[in-house]
Amino acid sequence: MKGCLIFLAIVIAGAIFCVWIPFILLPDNGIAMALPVISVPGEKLCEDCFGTGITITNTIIGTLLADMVVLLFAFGATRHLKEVPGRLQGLFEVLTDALYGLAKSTAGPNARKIFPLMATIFIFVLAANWLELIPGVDSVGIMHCAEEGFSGYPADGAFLKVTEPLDAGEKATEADYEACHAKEEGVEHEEVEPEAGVGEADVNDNLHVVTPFVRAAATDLNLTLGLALIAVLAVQFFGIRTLGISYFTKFINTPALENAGKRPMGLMDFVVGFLEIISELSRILSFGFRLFGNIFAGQVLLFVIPFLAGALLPMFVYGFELFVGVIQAFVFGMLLLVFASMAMQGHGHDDSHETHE
Amino acid sequence: MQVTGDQFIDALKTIGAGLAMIGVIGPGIGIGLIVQGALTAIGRNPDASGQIITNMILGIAFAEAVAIYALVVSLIILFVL
Repeated sequence: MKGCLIFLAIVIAGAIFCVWIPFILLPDNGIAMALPVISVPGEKLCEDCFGTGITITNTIIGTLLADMVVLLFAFGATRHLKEVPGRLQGLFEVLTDALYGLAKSTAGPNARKIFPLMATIFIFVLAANWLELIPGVDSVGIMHCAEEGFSGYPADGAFLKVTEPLDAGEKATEADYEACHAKEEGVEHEEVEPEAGVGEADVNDNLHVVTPFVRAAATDLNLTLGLALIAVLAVQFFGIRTLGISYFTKFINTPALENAGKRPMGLMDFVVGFLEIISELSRILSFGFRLFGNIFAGQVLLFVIPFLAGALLPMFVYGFELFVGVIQAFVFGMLLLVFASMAMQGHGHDDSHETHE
Repeated sequence: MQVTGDQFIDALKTIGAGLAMIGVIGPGIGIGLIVQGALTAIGRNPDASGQIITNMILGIAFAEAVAIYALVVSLIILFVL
């Protein structure tokens, strides 16, 4: 009986939030959902900020926020260390314990060397991914004229004026952008030649888009490829530090050449060594694009599903994004751990890992 | 109805974005095989399920990355090109 009531409540809530509010109530009052701008590169907020020549994109602000969160968490948890930990220190201890146990079970005696880098990358990517879910991120921003290729909406004071639900806006052309700029700045811009087939009357000078102030850090390919480069270079560094120069026999397999007299099939190992180089380089791309693709696709989902389906359905997308954020951070850290421990063990030795009790 | 050149190119882009997503068939089957192996292993040795599940998540992330490549190509075709 109670289950039936709960089910009824869910159906009614779904009907109110997913059908009535976004498609009937709000558009009647002139407020409907606008589709945010989806652009792969980070959007510039200001070029030549404060005269220093630095360009700040919204993903840089997202990265800085994630940095601050990680640093605040680290400082807050490790000042005044107590024997019986308080809550923040307790959380920090649980996290460190779990990650270090993982490192020990995978890397064995080398865990102490890899653990700092792996745990830092894990916590930073986790913070960067979860920051995307705070309301205000990816939605509050600067309104400006739509450039070519973006779909804009007419402006209404400080907000975008969207009256129809499921209205994807109008695609702006170069001429629209120039006309909108001319209207804003009040100066005479030189007339851009409209494309053939578009008359003077088709130029719309009131198309605006909103550029968010903060965007999830991992949606910028710069960050993910940078982290991937750091990870792959760190793996090489750990390998060289542990094995010395003989680490490079993984790539140029001279022992196989030496033993060619006794084991002619060992020449195959020499060729495989060159394939290892390609495999290392492809790891950079794989690290970078895995993180970028997951978080960028999640951001696009978070933009499009509320546009299409109102306010209750996106809750499930939020839950999924929470999960994906943790998994991607975990996978990045684990892959770094596994590759570094393989590099430190050397090529061809399969030492036994510590058994996991 | 007259179709301008621009509209034709937009339509082709949309078709291209749809075709790019055919690539997710492979990772879908792959993830199913990974989970099949993991479930079989847990069935044989339930005590090791912690380690098995950790490695399964790792394997799924690898397989899913390929699906994400296809999605990224599709999104780039739709929104950037």
